Amino acid sequence: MQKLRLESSKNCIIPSFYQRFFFAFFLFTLVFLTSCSPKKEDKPGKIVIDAIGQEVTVPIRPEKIISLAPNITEILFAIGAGNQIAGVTDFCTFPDAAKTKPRTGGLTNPNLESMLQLQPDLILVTADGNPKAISDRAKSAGIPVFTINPSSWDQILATIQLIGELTGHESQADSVIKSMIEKTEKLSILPSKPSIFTLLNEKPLISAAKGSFLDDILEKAGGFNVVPSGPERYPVINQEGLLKMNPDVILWPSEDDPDPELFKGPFKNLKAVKSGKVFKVNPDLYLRPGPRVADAVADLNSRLKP
Amino acid sequence: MTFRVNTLLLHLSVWLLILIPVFLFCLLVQPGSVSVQMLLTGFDDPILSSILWEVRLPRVINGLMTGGALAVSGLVLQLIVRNPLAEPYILGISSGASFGAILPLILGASLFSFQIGGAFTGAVLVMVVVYFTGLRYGRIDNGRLLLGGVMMGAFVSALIFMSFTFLGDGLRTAITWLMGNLSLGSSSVIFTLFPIILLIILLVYRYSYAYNLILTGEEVASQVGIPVDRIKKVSYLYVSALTALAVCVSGIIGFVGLVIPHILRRFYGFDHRYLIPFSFLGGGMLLMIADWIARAALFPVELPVGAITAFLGAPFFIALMRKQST
Repeated sequence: MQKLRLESSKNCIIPSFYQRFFFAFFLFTLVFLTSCSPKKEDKPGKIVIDAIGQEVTVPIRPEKIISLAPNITEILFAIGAGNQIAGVTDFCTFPDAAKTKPRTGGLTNPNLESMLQLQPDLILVTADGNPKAISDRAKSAGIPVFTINPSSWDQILATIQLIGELTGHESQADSVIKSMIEKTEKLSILPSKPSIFTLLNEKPLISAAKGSFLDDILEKAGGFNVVPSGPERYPVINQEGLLKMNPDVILWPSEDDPDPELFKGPFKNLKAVKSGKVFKVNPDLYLRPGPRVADAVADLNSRLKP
Repeated sequence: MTFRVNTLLLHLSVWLLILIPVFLFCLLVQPGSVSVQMLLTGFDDPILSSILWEVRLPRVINGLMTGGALAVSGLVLQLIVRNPLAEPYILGISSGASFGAILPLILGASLFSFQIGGAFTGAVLVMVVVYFTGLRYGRIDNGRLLLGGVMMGAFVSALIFMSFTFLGDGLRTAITWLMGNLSLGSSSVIFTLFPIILLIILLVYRYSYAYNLILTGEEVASQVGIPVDRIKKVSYLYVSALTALAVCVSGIIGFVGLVIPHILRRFYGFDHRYLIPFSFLGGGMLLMIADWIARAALFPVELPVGAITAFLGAPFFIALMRKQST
């Protein structure tokens, strides 16, 4: 008994040959692996400050851009930078040419590995649609990540201009902006400003509050948003809240089949439901802060005409 | 406290005296919205009457019924598995219901009517699996039942999180479901389920004396002629049904089922003839108040009610525990 205990304690203090060998091997592997981590190269580029205030070194003319949001893809195609796109998300369905680009996954769950495989020289992300962890990891892999955050009409125009500058398509970006402004100048003037509720989700009711870009679309089209500004841009709204606000129009960007019960319950007495002013519209047009919001404004304006 | 029918009735009337004003308050007062006066005089206005009868009344009743069902189900569950940490959701029933509710969203958002049916089916499936896992030599084994429930819950939660990938637009609805929201159920559903839940609670109440004996020890209870195994099995079914009904209309509202029985035991000891009815009323009242806060705090924006129940219940319970130990 005594002897056994002595021996085991001896083993602990003085390592055997094999233990030393494995320890040395382990250390060696560790040093080897840490030396393998990628080294950042200094590529020539311009330093730009993005929407969340970070300095990004962007190549002079990026040729392999990954777009992580449908509105970014639409902007890139609109300004003629479509052939510089290396990858898009699963939700990038417009224009048709976007559907042929390699996919990198969803908005909230893009696949970093498939992104890196495309060897991009610039990744464009949105501040509230994409997870920050993904952009941080792409950054640590040495790829410039530029964040945009267009949350109003003016910011959408500014973002288009900025992306034009980043990709070397300033003049096309300017003409896209010009045509967007022209579209909104041709609108008909409404006799009165209708109050509008944007129905983004039925159960629970989710709407766009003041301070979201949708709010600007409603204003530009000649109406106004009934949902006041709050802690969230897209808050869950109390059913009673909708009844009390009793909007003239319900704007419903949805492709799903409507729930037949939705406007039969308490909502059947709403002004908008009674007068048949529940407009079910194309969500891609209305919910993507890109060049097509001008079409959304024109579409809404023509629907609001008495 | 010794049991007398008169004492029960006395306490019941005191409870109702508190409950009725709370009920009316939650029903009539809503800062930021229409005033009480307008509501009571505006029966002709279709908007005002739908606010009162089709939005608020079902919601307040849903609070009473869901909170009550969860509290009674927690109370009985803590007894039959002999574990103070037991709560209605520990047996995986809520996860089953949530998965059942989310599955139609994945298959197509138009299937709204299947949501409640799906939730109930999911809950019943998990309930059956957990029941048979918990059986040992034909009797409910407490440890097995709990572990089986926790495992099933973990498994179904894994399915839920995997399904999030396919949800897309339905994600917000699914998350709301997982945080609990009393406005999800339509009024017709709520008014149908309310009597069913009351009936199940009456059925549970039949066993209240047997529960007192089971609490003193299962062997003791069997020796005095209580069919302990049968009561445990039937109670498990009742409790699961209560939880399933509560979850399938309102999603997962945590904490009511855990804390209300503990709070009431501090006042009524271990006599289930008091605990069952007052757990129902107490749970209902807590959830009504929590839901009122959820909708009143930032009107017209809503907060998740499940967060508020814990926010109110936990400090109250800790304070109570400290006060009684000194």
